[in-house]
Amino acid sequence: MADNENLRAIEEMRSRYETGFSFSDKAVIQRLYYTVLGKRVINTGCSDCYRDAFVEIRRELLRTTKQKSMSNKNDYTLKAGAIIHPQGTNRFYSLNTVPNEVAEQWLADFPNEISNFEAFPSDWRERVAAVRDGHAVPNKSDNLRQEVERLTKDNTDKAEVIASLSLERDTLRQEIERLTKRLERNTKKKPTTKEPAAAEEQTIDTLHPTE
Amino acid sequence: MSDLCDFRLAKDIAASCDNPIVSGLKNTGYLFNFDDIDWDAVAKDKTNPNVVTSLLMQGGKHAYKVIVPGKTPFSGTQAALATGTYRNKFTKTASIIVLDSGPDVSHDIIDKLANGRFVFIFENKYSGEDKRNTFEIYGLEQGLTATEITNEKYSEDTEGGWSVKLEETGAPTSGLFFFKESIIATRAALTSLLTGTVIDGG
Repeated sequence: MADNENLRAIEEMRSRYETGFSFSDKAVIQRLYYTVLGKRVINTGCSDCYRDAFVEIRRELLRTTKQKSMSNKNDYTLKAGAIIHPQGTNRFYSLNTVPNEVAEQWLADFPNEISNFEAFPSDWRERVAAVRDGHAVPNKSDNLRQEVERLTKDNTDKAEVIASLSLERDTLRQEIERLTKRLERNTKKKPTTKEPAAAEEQTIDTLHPTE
Repeated sequence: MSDLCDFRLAKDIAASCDNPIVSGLKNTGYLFNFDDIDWDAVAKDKTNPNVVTSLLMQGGKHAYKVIVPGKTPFSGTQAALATGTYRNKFTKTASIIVLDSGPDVSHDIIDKLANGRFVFIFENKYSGEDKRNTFEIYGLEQGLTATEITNEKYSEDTEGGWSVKLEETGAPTSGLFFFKESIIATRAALTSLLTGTVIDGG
């Protein structure tokens, strides 16, 4: 839950990544940088420090929330206080720890106990009937979950690539600005001599051969 | 179901020599907001309706742990007969010490305790031979409400914390106990009650 809230906060300030973060945004980034990654934003004087921290936090949050959603594969959630104890075992299941097969076997024996479940798939009757009859039914939820996981992963990967490219673009843009200013300064200082300017251009060409 | 209640004695009165009774409570209790309980799901043992076998929370709600340190935690917790015109009932008192103070305590605990309705489960030191005496419930019938809340700044007992008395009046049963199929299952249920369900996207 905390990760979801943090991710929500980060996504909310995503639109200000380009234009610059507000004072309160920076405070949130500082806090999350510490709570999520255990690090502090050391240099708070530059705007890029916060952008870098933003990208790092977002990447970490997307990774952890994805892991959590993939690990939670149970379709059934028991209400708080309800317990399933399969006969002949020493296992107790509660809340969202109950595997599908255990829940369905339990409901096959005690169908009225569906009222003890907070969440269950819409086709639970079919599933339980299948368990009772000893044959399996195609699991619609599993297929849908796999599709959602695939799309989520796809989306996450793309978002990571976009964030990484945006960061690289900003860095390059700043580098170009810095070099342009330096070039201008040098040109003003020595307007008649061509060699230093040529040297500067050569430097830029070396750094950005395609431009 | 009979129209006439059976109040005839049904068991010998004797002390257990093998497993003698022990007074007092353990240090951890469990407090529930009365309205957070899924009342439709509350179930009692068919042979002994003083045993509650199912106690569930509504979606997203959970119980709260109450820890009172010391040798005599929850001292003052008791049930007493209250005679009535046609039928006698019981008054149950839960005594809680909050060894803390401050704005968060006032806002999140004391102000709520002062006006809310609650159910309290506590752990008896004496669990009985079959362990069914372990967890006792107050407030499940009428709900517990505050009758006394004090914050004595120079109290040596509460050390400037809060002393709270919650009372249930007019309870028809002398004692209700929380017990599922075994004490392990009961403890697992309590852990689940404390955790509560997390609704995705909620």
